[in-house]
Formats: sequence, C-alpha cells, structure tokens
Amino acid sequence: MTPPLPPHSPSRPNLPAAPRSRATGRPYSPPVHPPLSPLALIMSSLASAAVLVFLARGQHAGDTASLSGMAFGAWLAGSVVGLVGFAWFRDENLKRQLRNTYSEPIWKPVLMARVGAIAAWVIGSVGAYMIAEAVARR
Amino acid sequence: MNRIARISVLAGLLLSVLPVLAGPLDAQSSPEAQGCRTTNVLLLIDQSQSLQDTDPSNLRVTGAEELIRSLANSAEASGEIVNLAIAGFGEGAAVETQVTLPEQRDLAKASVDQFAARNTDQNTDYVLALRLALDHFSTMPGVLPACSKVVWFTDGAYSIDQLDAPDLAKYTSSRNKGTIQSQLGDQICGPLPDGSTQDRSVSEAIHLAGFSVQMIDLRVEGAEKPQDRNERAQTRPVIDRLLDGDPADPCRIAGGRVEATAASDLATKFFAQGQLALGHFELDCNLLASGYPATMVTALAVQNSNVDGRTELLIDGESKAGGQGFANYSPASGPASSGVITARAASGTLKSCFADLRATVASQGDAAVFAKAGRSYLYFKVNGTGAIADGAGVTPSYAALTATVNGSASAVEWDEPSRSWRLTINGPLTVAPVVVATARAVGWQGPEFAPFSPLVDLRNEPPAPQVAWKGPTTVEGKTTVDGELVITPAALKTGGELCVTFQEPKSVPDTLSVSLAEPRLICHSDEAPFSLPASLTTSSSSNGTGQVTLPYTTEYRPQGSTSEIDIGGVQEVVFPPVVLVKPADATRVALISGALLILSIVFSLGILVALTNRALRLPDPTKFRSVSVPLEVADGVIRRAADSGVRPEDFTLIAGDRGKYVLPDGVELRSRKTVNPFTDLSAKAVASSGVIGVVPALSREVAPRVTIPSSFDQLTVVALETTGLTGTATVVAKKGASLPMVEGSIDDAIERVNTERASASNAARRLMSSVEEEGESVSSSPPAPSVPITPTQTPQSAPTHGSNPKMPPPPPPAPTRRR
Repeated sequence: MTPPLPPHSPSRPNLPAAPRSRATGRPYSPPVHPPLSPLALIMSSLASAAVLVFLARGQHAGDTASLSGMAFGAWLAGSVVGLVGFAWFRDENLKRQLRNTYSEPIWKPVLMARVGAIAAWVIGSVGAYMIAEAVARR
Repeated sequence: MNRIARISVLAGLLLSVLPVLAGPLDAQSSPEAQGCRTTNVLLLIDQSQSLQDTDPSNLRVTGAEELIRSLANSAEASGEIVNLAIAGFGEGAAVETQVTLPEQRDLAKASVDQFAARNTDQNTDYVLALRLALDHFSTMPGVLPACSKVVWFTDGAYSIDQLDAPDLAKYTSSRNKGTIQSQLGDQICGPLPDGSTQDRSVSEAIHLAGFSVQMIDLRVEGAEKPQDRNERAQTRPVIDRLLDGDPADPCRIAGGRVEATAASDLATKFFAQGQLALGHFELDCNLLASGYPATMVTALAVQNSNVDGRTELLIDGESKAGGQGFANYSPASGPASSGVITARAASGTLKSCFADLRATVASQGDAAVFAKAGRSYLYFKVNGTGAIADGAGVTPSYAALTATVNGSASAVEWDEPSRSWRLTINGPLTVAPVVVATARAVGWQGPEFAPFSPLVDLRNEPPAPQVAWKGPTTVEGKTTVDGELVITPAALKTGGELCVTFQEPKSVPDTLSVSLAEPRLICHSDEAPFSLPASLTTSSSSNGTGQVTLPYTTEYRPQGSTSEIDIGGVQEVVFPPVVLVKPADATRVALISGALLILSIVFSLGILVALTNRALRLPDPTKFRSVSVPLEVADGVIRRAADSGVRPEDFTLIAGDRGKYVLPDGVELRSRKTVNPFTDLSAKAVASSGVIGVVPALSREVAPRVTIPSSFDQLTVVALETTGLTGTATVVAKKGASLPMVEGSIDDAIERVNTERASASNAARRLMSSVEEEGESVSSSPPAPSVPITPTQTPQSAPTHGSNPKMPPPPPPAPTRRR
C-alpha cells in the first residue's frame, strides 16, 4: 500500500495552492457582505417616491379627474421598484449568506433594506391612492 | 500734452460719444424687434498656439459646433435665415467659409472642424480680428446693425511674438513687441498711438458700423505659461473696457463678454452666444418646470445637460418641438393664444434656456379717476401678445409691473381677486394724471416690454368699482360652496356711497349657478372695500370647467346728496374658471388602490420567484470537475482505501446540467423549482442505493436523500453501499482546485460522516436505555458530540462562523482518524 502523499510534496503536480490565512494557516476567503447595489436601488426608489408624492400633492393630484404623472411615478418608484429592489436584495443576500465568510456590517444593511422597502411601498401607496382618486372621479 | 494732442483727444472723444448719443447701446434689443428676417453672424475663432495649453482637447471646436446647431435649429424653427461667416485669427485674420443656415449646417460644421488643427499661430492679434469684422460687415450695405453680430472666441491674451507678420502693418508701423503690445488700449479705444496706421480707433469704427460683439473668453487659471499670464493681465483691462465697461465710456461697444473658466464650459457658452446673436435672452429654466405662459413666448431654446438626451418642449402636454440635446420652439404665426409651456429633458436637466418674450400692458376696466377722491385705483393686466381671451393675463410669477404717476414711482400691487395689478393714485386731482406702466418678465434677462400710458379720464363721478369673486374655484360633486363678491371702489374716501345692483348671472354649463344673498343690491360707503355673500351651486356631478359671469350696475350717491348717479353702465364680474369635479366614490378608491397595491406586490413577488428559481439552479457544471476515491468500513468507521490518493488525471467532467448532476455510483445532485419566493436556496443529493453524507449540507442526517445548498464552491459526497462495507467519496470541485484542498475536503467529509453516524447510533442507544444504564453506556463509550454538517466546514474556507448568525459554531475535533 502506497502511503498518501503529503500535501506539499514536490512530486505533486504544480497546481496552484489555495490562499491561506496567516493566522490560522487554513485556506482563506475574503469576507462577503450584503449587496449594496440593490440596497441603493431601494433607497433611491424611497427618495424618488417621497419627492414625487410631495410634488404630486403640490399639483393637487387626485383632486380632479386628470391622472397625475407624478402620482403614477411615485407609485411606480415606491411600490413597484422599491419591492423589486428588495426582491433583488434578498436574492443576492441569500446567495451570499450561503458562504461562510458572510458577515453583516454594524450599520445593518439587511434591516435598512427591509425598512426602506416597506417605507417605499407605503409612500408609493399614497401615489396609488391619488391615482385611484382620479380614476374614481371619472 | 500739447494743444494739438488735446484737441485730437477731445475730437476723438466727441466722435466716440456721438454714436452713443445717437442711440443707446442696443445690443440688448431683439433682432426680431428690429425686423431681422436675416441675421449676419461672424464667428471669430482664435488659432494661436496658447490654445495648446488652455484647450488641448479642442473643445472650442465642439463649442463652435454647438453654436452652429443652436443657430441652425433656431433659424429653422422660426423660418429665419442666418448668414454665418467663419473666420480665424492669429498672426492674420481671414474669413474661411460663408454659409447660410439652416441649409448649410454640415458645411459650417466641416469648416469649424478644421480649427482643431489650427493652434500654431504665434500671435493672438485682437486688433486684426476686430478689423476683419469691420471689413466683413462693411461689405453688407443695407443690413440693420442690430442684425449683425460677432461671436468672438479667444483664450484671453493679446500677444504679438511674430513681428514679421505682414498684417501687422494694417494698424501699426512699429516692429517692437513691447511697443505694439502696450499700444493695444490706444489702438482699440483711442486716441491712436504714435505709429498707428488706422484712420480711427477700433471701438470708434465699430460704433459707426453698429454691429455688436459677443466674446467668449476662455480663462483657464493655471493652464497658461507665465508669459501668457502677463499678457492676459495687460489685455484684460482693455477688453473689459470695450465689452463690459461703463456704457457712457466712448470705448464701450454693443455686446458683452462671457467667461469660461474651463474648456468644458465652452459648449454652453457657445450655445448661449448663438442665442444672444439671435436676440434671445436667458430665461430661468426653473420657470419652465411648472409651466410658462405660452402666450408670451415668441421663441424658446433649451439645452439639455445630456447632449444625447431627448429634449422636448410641450404646450399643455402636447409636444411642439424636440431634439437631441436641444429643443427650439418658435411658432411661425406668433405666440400661442393660450396654454403653458413645459420642457422635458430626458436623462439630464435643463442646462440653459433662452427665449424671446413679448407681452403688453393694458388697462382693466375704465382708465378713469374721480377728481375728488382721496385715493383712486387703476387696474392693469399684463398679457402675452398671443393672449386674446379675457382672464388670460400673466400672473406675478411671470411678470412684474412698475408704474409712474406724473413721473414719480407709485405703488403697484397684485390684486388677487381681480387677477390684475392695482395702481394707487392719490387725490384729489385737478388735472388728469400721466400714468406710465411698464412690465418685465420675471427671470428673463431681456429688456422691459414697451411701456403703456393710458389716457386717464378725470371725472366728476367715481369710476365703476371692481367686483371679484373671492371663494373656492373647485366644486366637487352636487354641492354648494360659499364665497363672497368683493367690491373694491375705484375711488376711495370721497365721502359718498356706492350702491351695486347685481343682475342675473350667466353660467356654463347649466348645472352651475350662482346664488346671491337677497336683496341683490348692496350699498356701502366708499371708505374701503366691502362684500356681498354669494355661493356657487352645482346641480349635478360632472368633470370639466365652468365659466360664470355676473352683470352689475353701480350708482354713486355723493356726500350730502339724496340723488344717485349711475356710473360705469353695466359691468361684468368674470369669475375665475371654476373646476367641476365628480366626487370620488370611497369604495372605488379603495378597490383601485388595493388593486394597484396588490399588483405591485404580485409583480414584485413574481420577480422574487423568478430570481429564487434562478438561484436554486446548481452551479454551471462546465466550471466543475469531479473525482472519486474508494472507501472501506471497518468497525463501523469509514476510512479511505489504501492507495486512494487523488491525481490530476483522475478528475473527470461532470455529466448533467444546472438542473441535475450525475455523479459516479448512482449519486445525483438535483435542483428544484418553487413557487415559494421565501424558500431556502437548497438542492438535493440523492443516492440510488445505500446512504450518503454530504459536506456541505443543510441537513445533518446520513440518508438516501440529503439537502444541500444550491450554490457551492466545492462539495463532497460520501456514499456507502447497501452492504455498509464499502463506498466512495466524490468531490465536486472547481476547475483548477488544488489537490491538497481536494484531499482535505475528502478527509473532512469522512470525519463528518463518521461523527454523524456515531451520533445517530448513540441517540438510538439512549432511547433504549434507562437513565442509569445510559450513564454506564456513556462512561464505557463516550458519545461523539452532535455535529451538524454545515457549510462552515468546507475546507477552503476560513473559520469566520462567528460573524454569520446563520452558521453554527464548528464542532470540537471528532475522535476519528486523521491522515
């Protein structure tokens, strides 16, 4: 029976060795954090929805039968894009969580994504209400 | 200074001042206002070598192209013609190309493109540049001066280094650099210096010719050489005096100077100069955001910050003009009669806006004052020239009105009920006052509109009062809204009394009506405004706009008199447009809102399901290889068979796709589909016979089916035959994985499976034993710790489990054999 070769035997083929941690000597992988791009999308949709609702309110959206582009934009940004952003965030984050080097920063991006998506959806629903008011007046 | 020199100076000054006295510096007056159906523009482009430092990317060429687009688009929109001459100056000055816009825009663009390579002249000769402009416009007799413009680009320093340049003789006989450069001020502004070969100073000649000069002065701090900096310091006072100086200075010519502090600003500056050349003036772009009165707009050009962004101008939402980076609107038949203009800049913001605006001031009601009144009011409206309908006047958001009474400024204020400006005239008066009202557009750099001077009638009875509706202008559903009719005497404090009698109102549609408090006659002293309660009623719900007019007559009873005088005849209150709105049904609102919100959730969940199913797929098998080693089981412990080292040639391709991997010994990895958007991202490892243990795994059992993560970098399957005596360990690893890593993962997986099997065995034993027996059992055969098989144990990973809340801590070392 041939004993197994030691890990770094010169007789082994010259394959690249995995990077190793200096502290532990074990293979090293860089830490993985929650995804920031979808989080930025959620926050942008939240901000856009808030601004558009404010502008729509200024234009008395929903007070007449004419549909307000601002209100529609607020609903689209907050309730649709915000939630799509959250879906994207969750999907990306789940994939990253499967890696054991995953760690969440102290500023809790996962919580921020959840709160941001809910807030965007609520603000977007104000836009939806304005659209509904205008349609209901027809 | 001797006497002859003094006389020369005085004569020169007189000659310079004469054109100023003859007419104002009217560069600010619109060419259209001067009747320019053809505008002549000379584009003078610097071609000196200093541009190699200040504009190395040739952005002046891009800017000049912008000017051509600006001129051509505006000319096309308005149906006008622009004769454009393109000239360069440096050691000399010459016209290169003459084109007519908008037809020959491509030829013009090709001409300016050549200036990218023209940056080698040693001189930057401003005198020759301006003399070329004089020569050029002198060949166009009969052209109105206001229709001739020079757009002059330079990087800001008069510099003469090439003293052999033949054209120098056109204005100086000197061949001394210092002398020539020091004489710039005198050559431009006069008096002419010794050695000058000009007939008169350049500014004087330009005054006589009458054209204006718009300079784009590129002053890039830090990019120039010290010599250039010194020359710029010498040049600046002269240019500032010529183009930015005191209007009373004889050297000052019509036009202006804009400064670009970076070459990247040139495109905007050229666009602006092109618009100025067409007689358009800058308009605050913010005013376009909320809708600008179209009745005032004769021409409008907007520039998008994104040169490729679609830019549009709309009136009441209908597109009127559009283009890439720009939009030019110039209605051929004059300003629109109603509506508001908005601008839309896709993928950018409105960077600069230029417009030609027209408005007139008119009296509202009688231009009459009561001689005996302590105070009288005159009312004015500012109308865009396109406005023909009553009530379409411009509000203070877009126009400002000032007025003088007998030459003194007088108080003017906006009166919201009558939607007009109210001028106060203090009395009593013995002669009719001379009133001049002047309007200007808010946020527009253009001139004031033509002043309006009504012929004010001085009467012995007061003029009719102004009556206006003060109350809601939106009526929702079948309802009544209360307001009041505010009667503002046109002459106050006469001691008399006004009696206003309202007649039958006229309204459109029929469902809208006005109710007045009875009686419809109200009498009140003319000390202050007074009011009569009124209400608007709708008899049915509808959407639309209602119009209401209410005729009234007024009688005036002078102080101490018992008889009344009819004043003003039958007047009319014109209500502001009344917006009629159907009420919103709460159930419908709730249903539609709910539908929209459910739609948004369903759509987002659909996206999440799609993303989840995408994430549930196994990794791409073409990026992985597998290798198997034989195992044997002795005393219930799995270990590697003898001579089971992994060699590079043992790695094989993986059969299957992202839905299923087929591994040796009947083991398969299978992905799954789901409609649950919140499911775990897991797959299954399935053995056709026997049992398997997998590292990493999401379940802890050693079983025929094991749940594994759907995404992995490396995976090891330990499969045991049904007999439980032999088996294989199969590693699925990325291409290029190192052999030590693969070997380590096999050993780790065997260790995990052994631990799991021991743990399961102990648990079964404990179930069958009493507490005491269990104690004995534990002392004779210590149980292996319960160890979940988790991704934390993959060999290629660092032990960062502490930072991942979903991952359990690693198990203590298991009592199994290690290599």
